[in-house]
Amino acid sequence: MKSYLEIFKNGLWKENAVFVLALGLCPALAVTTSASDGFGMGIALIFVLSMSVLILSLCRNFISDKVRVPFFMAVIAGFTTITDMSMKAYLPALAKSLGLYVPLIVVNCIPLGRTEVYATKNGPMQSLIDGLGMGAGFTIALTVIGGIRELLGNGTLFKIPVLAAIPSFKPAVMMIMPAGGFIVMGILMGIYAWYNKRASNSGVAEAFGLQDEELVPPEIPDEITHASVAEKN
Amino acid sequence: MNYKEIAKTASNLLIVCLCVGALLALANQITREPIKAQELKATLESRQKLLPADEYVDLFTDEKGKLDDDLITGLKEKKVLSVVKAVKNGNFCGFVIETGKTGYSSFIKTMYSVNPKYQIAGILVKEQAETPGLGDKITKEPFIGRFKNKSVSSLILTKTEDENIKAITGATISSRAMTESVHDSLEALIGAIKEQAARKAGTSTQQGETTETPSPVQENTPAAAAETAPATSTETPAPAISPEKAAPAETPAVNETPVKPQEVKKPAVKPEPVKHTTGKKPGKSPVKKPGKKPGKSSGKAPAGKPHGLKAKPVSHAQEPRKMVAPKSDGKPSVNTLIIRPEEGNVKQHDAPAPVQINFNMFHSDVYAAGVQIDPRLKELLPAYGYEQVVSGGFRGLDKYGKTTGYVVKTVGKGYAGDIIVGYSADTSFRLITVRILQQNETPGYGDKTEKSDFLGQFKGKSSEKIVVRKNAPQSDDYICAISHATISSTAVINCVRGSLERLRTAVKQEEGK
Repeated sequence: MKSYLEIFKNGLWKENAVFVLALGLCPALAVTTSASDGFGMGIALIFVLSMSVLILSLCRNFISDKVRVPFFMAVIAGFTTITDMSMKAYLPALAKSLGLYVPLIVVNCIPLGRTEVYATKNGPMQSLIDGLGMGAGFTIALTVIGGIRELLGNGTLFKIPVLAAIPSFKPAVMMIMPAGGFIVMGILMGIYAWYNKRASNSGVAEAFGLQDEELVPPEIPDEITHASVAEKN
Repeated sequence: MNYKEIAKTASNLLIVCLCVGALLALANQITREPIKAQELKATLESRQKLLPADEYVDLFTDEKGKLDDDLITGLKEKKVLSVVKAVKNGNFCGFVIETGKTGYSSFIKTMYSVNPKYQIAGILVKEQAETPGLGDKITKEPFIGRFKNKSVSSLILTKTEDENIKAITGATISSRAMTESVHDSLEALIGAIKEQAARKAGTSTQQGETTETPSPVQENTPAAAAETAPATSTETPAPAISPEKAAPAETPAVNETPVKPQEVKKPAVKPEPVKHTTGKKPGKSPVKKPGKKPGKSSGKAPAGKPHGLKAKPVSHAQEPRKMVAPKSDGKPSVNTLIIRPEEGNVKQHDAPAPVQINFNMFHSDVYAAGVQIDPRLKELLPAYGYEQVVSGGFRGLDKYGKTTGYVVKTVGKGYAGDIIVGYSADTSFRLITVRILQQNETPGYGDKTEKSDFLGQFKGKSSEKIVVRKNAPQSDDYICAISHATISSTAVINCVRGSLERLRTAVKQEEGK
């Protein structure tokens, strides 16, 4: 049994929803025009995800296998709607800039994926931690993507002028546009994969899909060679 | 699957739906009030942005400034979603109006403010989901800026830079929906305010005050509005506004104004567009057909509606010419192909709605004997001989005088002038080939009508199937408009259908004899 910290870290980093599992890419591209939007979206997802996996993990023994998915959808949709309504009520500015993407959490792969893959097989506590970890990973990914795009495309970070404070700075508007989202996400995914491979000390080679053997030819110990030759003789 | 399992499945779904439903009801209960408050706050903020004021009196709901119920109904019919009177330092300083109309793919909700002279002071789009990158340009400069300081007579969509509102290229339908909703709602509001004032004047005994009401809209209505405004209570309106208003009221116009409210409203509103357009139109888009006999070309009938978008192109027209069919033997319908956009199509069409095309313009090609025919039409339907059926419509004959098919030349009113279309049809009136013979549409947008992906759709269709669809997959039952060139494609589709139906009727009539 993994420790809770391990489960959390797994979602946060090792199986990061955006960079590793490549789930929930639609909002990850669409709402990341600014760091705060990305962050807000992430928080909304954390709430929906952790509540859904908690409830569904509690119910996992009662759910009939045949209506499993509709059951998940009903619960996820319920929490999404609650999130949407409370955002509109208490955070209207954020709700406005996130627009359609909050209701679209219903069809986001992350809640559905985690309930199906994890919550139906694990206890409520593990599921909750997993949900929180996955959500946190998603939030960090979106915030980073949003931050880079906002910084380059608008010169601000969390709406505070950073690069824009430099008079000669000219924003690269493309970064705010969809193309910028793809570029930033692609580069970040690459860096992420490279770093992870490096950390697991297989080196750069494996990160680029090469086998270790191709770079380092196996050495044949002399004694064995001699011995085998001698034996033959 | 046994009963136990069925029961489990059903109860599963039932329970989850009940629980989620209850949870949602609870959440809704809690958030409803805050959401309402937020929306109200947002509305107030946009009002402040559009027309800063201390107080907004809702003309629909607030007791003190409410209009008569029938006027409110009238305004609501004209798509006025809400209207408030702005009061600053006790002075009337304009209205903020919320309006909306369906554009290309969504309902476009607009909020705008007018000053006491009914000129647009500020405008913003509150809600829309038009095509990103094209239709959504209505929310931005420079389009938004074109509304500034416009009075109701200038709120007309045009294609050229002038004192009216220039449409966005490739997004005419979105721009028109927005312009029209603003125009219609403002016009309706002016009418309603005037009428309310007139009614008030009718009931009160102060005749002297009301007789001064000058006739032009802009100057008149503020005074009227001031009268309708018990909202600002007794001290405010009269002294503050009247001196300012008295100045423009040089023409001590019609004294009977207060008597018949209906009449007050009409002369004030209607002359505007006419006066306006006569001055400017000649410089604008050439309506005349180049090359064709110029004298006969423009047979625009006077439009029914004298105001608004549709009125404009018409109002300038010189004496509408009579359309005389060459063989006027009591049945002009056979020789004059008149295409009227049907009710449903009018809104698809661009500004000059009541298109009535006089086919006399083709008489250079056509003689009663039916021998001369445009060579391009011959290409569409090679035949031994041709015989005229209707003006611009011919029957192809083989050696033995048997009908091989039909070929028609027709005209549709496109975005930038006329589109001349030629097509051939088989004996059961199914289309064979459609070709654009002449057009002047926007390069890259409207001229896509010449492409075979569009024209190919016509092949094999009978007139019932020649209907416009937007954003639909290709099908045998209709013809897909070209996106971002809806007006051009609609024009082609409608003129083909209209003329094909005419042709068929004419042929059926002939056979019946």
